[in-house]
Amino acid sequence: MRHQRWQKKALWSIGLLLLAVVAMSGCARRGVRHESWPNLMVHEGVVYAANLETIVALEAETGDLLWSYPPEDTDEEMGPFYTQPVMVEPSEQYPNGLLIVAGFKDQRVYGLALDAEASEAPKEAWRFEGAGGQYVGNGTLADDRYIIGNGDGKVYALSVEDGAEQWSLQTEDRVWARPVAIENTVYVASLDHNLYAVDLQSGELAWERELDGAVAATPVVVDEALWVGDFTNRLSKINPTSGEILWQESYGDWLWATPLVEGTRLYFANVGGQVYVMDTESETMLWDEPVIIGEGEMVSSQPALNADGDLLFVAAYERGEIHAIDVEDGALLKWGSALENPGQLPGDLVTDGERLYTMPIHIQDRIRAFDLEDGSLIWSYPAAE
Amino acid sequence: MWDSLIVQPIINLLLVFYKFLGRETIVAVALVTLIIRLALSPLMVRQQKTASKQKELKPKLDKLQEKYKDDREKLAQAQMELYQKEGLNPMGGCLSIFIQLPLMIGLYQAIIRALAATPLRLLALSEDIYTWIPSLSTLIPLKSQFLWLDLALPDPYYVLPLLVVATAWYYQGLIAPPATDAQTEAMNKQMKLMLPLMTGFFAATYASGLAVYFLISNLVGILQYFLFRRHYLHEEEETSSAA
Repeated sequence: MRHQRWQKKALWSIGLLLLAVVAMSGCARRGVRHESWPNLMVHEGVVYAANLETIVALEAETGDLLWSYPPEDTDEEMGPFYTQPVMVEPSEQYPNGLLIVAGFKDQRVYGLALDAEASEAPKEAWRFEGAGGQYVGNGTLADDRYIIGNGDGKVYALSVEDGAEQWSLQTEDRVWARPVAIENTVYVASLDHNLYAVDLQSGELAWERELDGAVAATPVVVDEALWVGDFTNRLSKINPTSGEILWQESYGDWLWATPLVEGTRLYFANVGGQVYVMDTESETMLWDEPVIIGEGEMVSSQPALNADGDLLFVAAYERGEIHAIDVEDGALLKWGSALENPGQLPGDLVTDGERLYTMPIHIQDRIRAFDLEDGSLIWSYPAAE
Repeated sequence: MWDSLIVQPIINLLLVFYKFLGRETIVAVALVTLIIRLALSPLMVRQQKTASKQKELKPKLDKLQEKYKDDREKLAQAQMELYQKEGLNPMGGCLSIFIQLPLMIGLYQAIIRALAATPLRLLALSEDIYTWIPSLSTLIPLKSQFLWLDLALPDPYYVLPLLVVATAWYYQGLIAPPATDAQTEAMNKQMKLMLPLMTGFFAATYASGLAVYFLISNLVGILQYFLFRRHYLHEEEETSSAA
């Protein structure tokens, strides 16, 4: 009997440990496809999206697939992708343009030469494998350079011609914000709580400014000043020449989403789901109260405006809903209808004047296009069978 | 419920320790582990008590086995009566596993969420931080590097997993109930091998922050064993001399 009890006890212990494996596996999502935080861009009627392990080009009007990269017969693993693809305009070397995209796990930047035939998949022109971490934040184009931050804490400036490294700048933590280039200076925000100003040509540091919190949002420029939000809920206005903080205010929760600039107006939201609009000239809020888009809801993506600039669209991350707000009075308006399976919306909203595009995660539909006027779903990719 | 009762308190405790202990995540993890182990001390004492009582009861159990060797039902009944009379719960030792396991899973989740290696995890962390504790958000992101280790990832050189296996093996050898027959001894041997290998597997596969938890947990357990064992020996001696 005694040994039976002990045997029972042993089996219980092993069973519980196995349960722990299952519980922890669930948390770590090991063996489960890595869910990314994808972004897209629209260029001349084509949607380019880096999504999970592939890059796709779709007709913006219909959502029809033009091409998918890498080809199906390749064994090479790419991505998953977090970064927005960027388009280098046609040149002598790349007569149909060059698409640049950076991967997360594979830690590579790819330069893909587009084909003259829109439905033909691009060919790899170059790749950059010199970074030691994962790419999360978007890259930016400036003066024939592609500049992007990496998980190794460095910001890399690559030649768009051949992907060769021109310079790099080391920060103390991951760089998840898109670098911003203004004239001959690149501004880089890092999770190390600092904002850096770097010479575009040489990569030499001009100044650095310590902020209280980590910065994941891309700094924006309004009226010759930099505006940047951080994880201590603060929005800061910074002199781009000296790095001096000109103004600072707290807004209730982490400021992760990149603000949207329209004239002198700054639209921004915190992760607590509160949406604000500020007149940057007078540094005053235009709505009496922030608009709250839902109890316990989060906002992590840059909002978007319609073509007339009178409707602001904000994505609610958790419930995957898009909220339309009247920019004049902050009233929440009905726009579109509830989707059966909306997914979650971490990535930025993108518009092309006619449609609003989203990239939901944790669901089968990876890209959706909505009518900008009435919010109806026009198409989704992959198309439902 | 799970998050608000287990994971979030551990995350915030980690952040507070991180803030006041030189901003070293490994130190914060070690201290949280120590606190959890100390909180589980009463269970450890109970486990030790059960083990030593079982040893004391061995001659009586042997007699019962001899007496009822042809009637298993009566033997079971007699054994239960004996356990009840002596105030012993033979399953008492399992209680520590029942309580330790949720804490282990909770701590693992807390480490992974606090270190937030991906943007989705970092975004989720904003919901876990207590806003009523001032300036915790200024600590984000936590430093995950310590020597060769990234605490959010497995140890690439398997140093920690090996230490975990060694300490778990030794600890298991200490706390295994006394072998009273060949089969119990075989089970003891099996457990002594299985549990260290399982924890070693966890330590090698998951975030090295979890391996730190296992290692410190084992070391504290070993220390506790010797402290309590001495205490019990002392108690037993006193009881026998009084008798």
